[in-house]
Amino acid sequence: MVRPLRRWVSAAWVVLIGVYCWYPLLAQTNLETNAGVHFNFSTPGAGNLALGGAFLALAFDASAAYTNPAGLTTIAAPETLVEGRHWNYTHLFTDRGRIDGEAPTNEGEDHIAGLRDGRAENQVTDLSFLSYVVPRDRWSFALFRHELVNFQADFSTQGAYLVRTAEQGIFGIPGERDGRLAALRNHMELNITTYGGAAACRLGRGFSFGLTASYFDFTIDSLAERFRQQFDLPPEFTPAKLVNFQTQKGKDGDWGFAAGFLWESPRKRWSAGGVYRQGPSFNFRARSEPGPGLPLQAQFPPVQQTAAFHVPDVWGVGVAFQPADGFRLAFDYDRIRYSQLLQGFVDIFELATLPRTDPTSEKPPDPELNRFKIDDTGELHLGFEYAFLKHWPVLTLRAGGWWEPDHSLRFEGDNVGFRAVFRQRADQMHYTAGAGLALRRLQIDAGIDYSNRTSVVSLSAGVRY
Amino acid sequence: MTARRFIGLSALPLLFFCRAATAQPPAAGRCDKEAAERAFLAGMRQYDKSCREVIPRLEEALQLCPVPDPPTGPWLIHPNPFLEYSYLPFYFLAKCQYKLKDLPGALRHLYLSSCNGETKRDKKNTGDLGTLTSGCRQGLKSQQPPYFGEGFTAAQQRNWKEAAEKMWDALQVAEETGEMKLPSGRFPVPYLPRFRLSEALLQLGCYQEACAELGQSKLKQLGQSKKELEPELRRLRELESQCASKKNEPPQQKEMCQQWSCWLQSGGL
Repeated sequence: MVRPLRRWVSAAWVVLIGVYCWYPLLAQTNLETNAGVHFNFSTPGAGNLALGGAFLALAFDASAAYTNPAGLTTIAAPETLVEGRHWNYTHLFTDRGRIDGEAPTNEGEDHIAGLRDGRAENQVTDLSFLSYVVPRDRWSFALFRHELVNFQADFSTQGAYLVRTAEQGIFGIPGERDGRLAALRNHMELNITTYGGAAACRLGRGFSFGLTASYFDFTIDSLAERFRQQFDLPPEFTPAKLVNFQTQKGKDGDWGFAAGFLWESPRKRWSAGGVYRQGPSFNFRARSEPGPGLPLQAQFPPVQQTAAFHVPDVWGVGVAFQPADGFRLAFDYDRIRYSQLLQGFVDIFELATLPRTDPTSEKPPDPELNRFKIDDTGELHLGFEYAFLKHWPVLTLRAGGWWEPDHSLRFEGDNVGFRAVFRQRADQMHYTAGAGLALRRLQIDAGIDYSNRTSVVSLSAGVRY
Repeated sequence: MTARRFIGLSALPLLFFCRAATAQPPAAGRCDKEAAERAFLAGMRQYDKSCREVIPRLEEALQLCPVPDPPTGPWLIHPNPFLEYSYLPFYFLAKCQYKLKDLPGALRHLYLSSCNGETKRDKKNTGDLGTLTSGCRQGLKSQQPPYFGEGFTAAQQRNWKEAAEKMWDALQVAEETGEMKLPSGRFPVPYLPRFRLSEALLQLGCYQEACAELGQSKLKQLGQSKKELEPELRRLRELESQCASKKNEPPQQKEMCQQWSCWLQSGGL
């Protein structure tokens, strides 16, 4: 039994190292819109969402194809899981006010001390997960479709005041020397859908190992329009004031791999699991163009670059305990490498090539790309469920929570415009709850995940054949 | 020690009934005596050192000659003038499994040891068989391993041999209750190991044993008060009609069914 186990472990390491070395780590742009993209790394399935997403060491339903493929070996019969989710995104953005440390002039719009955040909401409803699992002896196989990102953002800003200066930038972009940010009207749609296949094998002594290969389908479509306004007046979102705009468009695909393990104690009371999921990389077009409101002397040719979007890699470990039939406790720790978003970071504005508008400056504006920061985060997930086995259909109640440290893109350089726009945000605590009804071949679950920034309502159905 | 001895003694009458019920040793009929002796000796030389090494040798000996022919009288092996072994492959295999904490395996071989007349052939060496048997049973009841779930998974994948063994193991732990369990994921399954054992035995072609177990299942009785057992009751009716037509048919694999007959009579509860 030992030899096959060693062989599997060696093979897994070879695959992981190969996969890791093969892919370049790429990044995105310094457009404000990208600062708050929400990835759906949480566990598919309403029941698992309600468990606080702590499922790595359980992984006993068809969602394991994505969460931890090793768990597929615990499935006794062919099984399907289908899930619909409704997301409510609350976007936080720098809307108005004056940057900290500067007293407002109390003229016109400039009467608020400190920066004020705006809030906008977007709602998305979609089929988020679908999978089919077939067990065969020690092996299990699965096919699945998962929405990794289904993000929309629509918001407008009023244009915050920066340092006191008589100078007024022409382009109205954050990196430019300016006393006030241009008003921004923003729209963004980002979608990453995963199509994958998974295989898992029971190795013996309670260990299982699983691998997933996935194709990621990526589309991005964003438009950020900048309206330059008078220092003391509210913004006008009219073509005459539109000085420039940036677009991010693209459709791309990439492959990614994941590997996981699961260990179950002989009495199945304890289990432990772990997973490594490689994030794919995509290319898209990032373009900055002058608007009709830009003065003639400041006209610049449209700038187009190829930028990259790298989905962060994730690894996680979890432990679960079943003190009694129908009562389960689970805990996961997930490490998400958000810092990968910054490798190869692109200045969408190409500040260095813009016409000189500041005669006193000898150097072109510096985008200070190396001063943008984003931290890797460690998420803690905890959940429990209790199944009333004497009740028919079996009723299961679940509750949990998870802690999501801030992973906003922030700027720690000198440029006051970027400093005002890319700011650290508060960590999020997610509270989850849900219930499910299970029959012999059908289970229906509902779950919610509430936090200040992102809330999810989920409904899923599992069918066993 | 006293309590253990008492439990062991109390299990002895069970073994007596077991012997009475299996006058014909289940594994009788084939014997390559010389090769079996070699395999048995190879195993027994490691007996005090490593049970993991012993088990494959004794299993090989069992394949070559499970029961001496004729099955009465001691079978003594002398590898040298100073050493003597009694050919008791079931018994020593069970003891090794017991040492390695494979309690269901040990229990099955203890029953086979008894059913195949090893206790009759060598009362002295097998004197602790009753104690070992009750020790296995107690151990299983206190540990409550998840045999039912493993058996259910095996049955779903049509691995009937493993399904039958695991359901029998589950029966050693607890009798049928019909209560819902979650053996795989969140789909509930009623705890009916005897019913599922009989289904597996039917699939294995052990019709007489399967039908006898089906008759003992509490499913019908439990189904009167639990409407959620309707799918099993439907299946029960199908199996009963199969029993009506097949229970007098000869077994497809005689030796395997004889083993099952021994296990069910000794450990069917």
